[in-house]
Amino acid sequence: MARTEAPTHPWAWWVWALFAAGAVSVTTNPLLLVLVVAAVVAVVVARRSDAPWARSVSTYFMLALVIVAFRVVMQVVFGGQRTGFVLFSLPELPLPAWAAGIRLGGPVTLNSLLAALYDGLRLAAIIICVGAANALANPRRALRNVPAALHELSVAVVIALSVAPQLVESAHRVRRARRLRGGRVKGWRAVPALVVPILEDAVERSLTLATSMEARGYGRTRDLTRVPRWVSASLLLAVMAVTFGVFLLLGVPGGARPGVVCLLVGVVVTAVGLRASGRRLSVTRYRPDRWRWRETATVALALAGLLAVAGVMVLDAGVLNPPTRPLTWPSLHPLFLVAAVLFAAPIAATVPDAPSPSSERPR
Amino acid sequence: MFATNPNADRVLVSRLVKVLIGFAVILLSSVALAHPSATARELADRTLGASVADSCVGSGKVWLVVVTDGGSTLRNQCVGNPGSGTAALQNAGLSLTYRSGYLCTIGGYPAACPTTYNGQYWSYWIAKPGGSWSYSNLGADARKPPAGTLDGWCYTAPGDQSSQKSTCLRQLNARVNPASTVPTAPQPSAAPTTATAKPTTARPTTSQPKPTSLKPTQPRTTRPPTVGTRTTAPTTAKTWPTISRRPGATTAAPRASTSSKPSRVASSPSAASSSQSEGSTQSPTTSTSPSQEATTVPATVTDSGSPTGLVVTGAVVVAGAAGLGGYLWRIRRP
Repeated sequence: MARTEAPTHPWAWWVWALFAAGAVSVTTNPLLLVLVVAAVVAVVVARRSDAPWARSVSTYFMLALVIVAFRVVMQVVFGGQRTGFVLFSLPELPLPAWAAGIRLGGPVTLNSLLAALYDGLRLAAIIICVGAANALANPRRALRNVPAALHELSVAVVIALSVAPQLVESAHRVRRARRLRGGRVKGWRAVPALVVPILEDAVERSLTLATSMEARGYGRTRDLTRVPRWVSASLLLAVMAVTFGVFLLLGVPGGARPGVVCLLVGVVVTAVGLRASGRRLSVTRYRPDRWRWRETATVALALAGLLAVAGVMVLDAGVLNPPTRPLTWPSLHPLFLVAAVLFAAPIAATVPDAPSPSSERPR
Repeated sequence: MFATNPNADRVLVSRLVKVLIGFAVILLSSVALAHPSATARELADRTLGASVADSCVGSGKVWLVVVTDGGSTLRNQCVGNPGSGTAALQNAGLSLTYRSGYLCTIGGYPAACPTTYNGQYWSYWIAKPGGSWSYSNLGADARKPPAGTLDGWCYTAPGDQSSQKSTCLRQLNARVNPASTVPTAPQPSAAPTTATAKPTTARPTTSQPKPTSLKPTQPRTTRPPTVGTRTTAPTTAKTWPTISRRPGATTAAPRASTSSKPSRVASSPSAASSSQSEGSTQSPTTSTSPSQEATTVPATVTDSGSPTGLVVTGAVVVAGAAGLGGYLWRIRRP
């Protein structure tokens, strides 16, 4: 079935993944974590393309497993919760008083293992959500679609991404040349002999690239007369307001309301400032990715999923953090199933990426 | 100039005397204000607590003080020789609730485990007789209170850290001042009647119905009041072996209700019970007992919930995977 529709905007996938990560981060209930991760993985499997960057999902899964295992091992060795239903005991080694309170080993309880497992599962779920975004959104197209204010920055990052493999290749070339010359110095003293030619190579390549880009008109894209003068000062203040708002929200007990106000004001002014300073880019973009109803639907479904989890927080906050002392079975709130379905619904809202020979060729 | 004027001398002397009187007044009033103002009950607490505490620590046992931010005393008694700080609380008959591994309520105070951190928490203080209360660096689980010391728990009042610590110090010292506690050998005395009377009046917040079971204690000459206390430790120890079968068993019968909040001694909010009943009507293997039982069952029964949530989640994930597999098979490119 040949599809001629343009692929989904990469930022839509990123927003969906970040909402899923946000929904997962407020809970340690393993049922909700498993449901959301299953929904995210379902979307990835259904909408993944064959490009090389889409094959990195297994790396994220391995990373998630490593995180869970590490957390459990840390709890077994260093953990502080030693009362409960004891599974087995490790030999105990109390550290002196200046290493305040850490006891190595000791009895390992099912309660503490479960608590560590839930904690590790939460972090693993966040990692898997971010990995899903990486697998579904083409990184180059994501960089191409940044706001116009960050245009030069995104060009620099795209060039760096393209040039990095060439740096590896030039390192191999330099090492081969030194082996052919013979009499090489080993160990740390060889490093300057390797690094200098690679740096020379990199500088030369970048100068060549800059000349060719200039010849193609990439240099004359700035027109600073179109930007009002208050923009940079207001952008700086807005970013500071965002930081301060986040600090109030997260770090100050009772600072939720001023924190949210500060954050909203900061975000709005940042958006306006970015829009205004983007007008200095006096060229239009070639074949921009369009934001259509599919992208809006994806973002709306993800937002609805996040609101479902927020609804659980409002209705019955205790179910989001099942107690492990005393041992209880985690309970399932019906809104969990609703949230999982909403996070998996972008399968219906989007179409699979058509493998086009020109734009998706791995470089 | 300084003429030898007797009138001027008298004026000077009278001024000096007034200034000295003023200084003395200021000094005495500041001393009086700095001394913690003690109500009659706190004075009684301190004197009675001091005498009973002396014999408690003198006989090599641990003394426990639990105070709230409102100033009410939950416990001020001897607790034997517990194996950990948590065991000391359980020996005194206090029920404990945890959230994410952290202790959030003791003896039903605060009534519900706070869902967001507002700066208040249960702080753990330790003291040796003749010393002063110090903030414990070790957790209640990690520390075995040595024989003949004092354990204190204080629910911090809202405020910044230094004011919280000073308030807690003041409240703990008002109950038992370890500096004035001298370990004395226990003697048979007539104190038990007054000691019995005091803590029952000093426990206003533990108002839920408790089965009056005598805690079996080792024989002591001065009997701290143990009538009416209830320990959760033995009953929880009894229910753990049944829980141990659950993780492996697939046919474990669901417990009284599908609630997962077992040791909340306060009644759960009604929204929670309604959501629980929703959950039980939608789950396939439903337990038909009404969810109100969870709120009125006394906290001796540790309700560990039922694995229906787990089963439903597993079924949903498997069904979703099957559906996805079918969908991918249908749209596969030949």
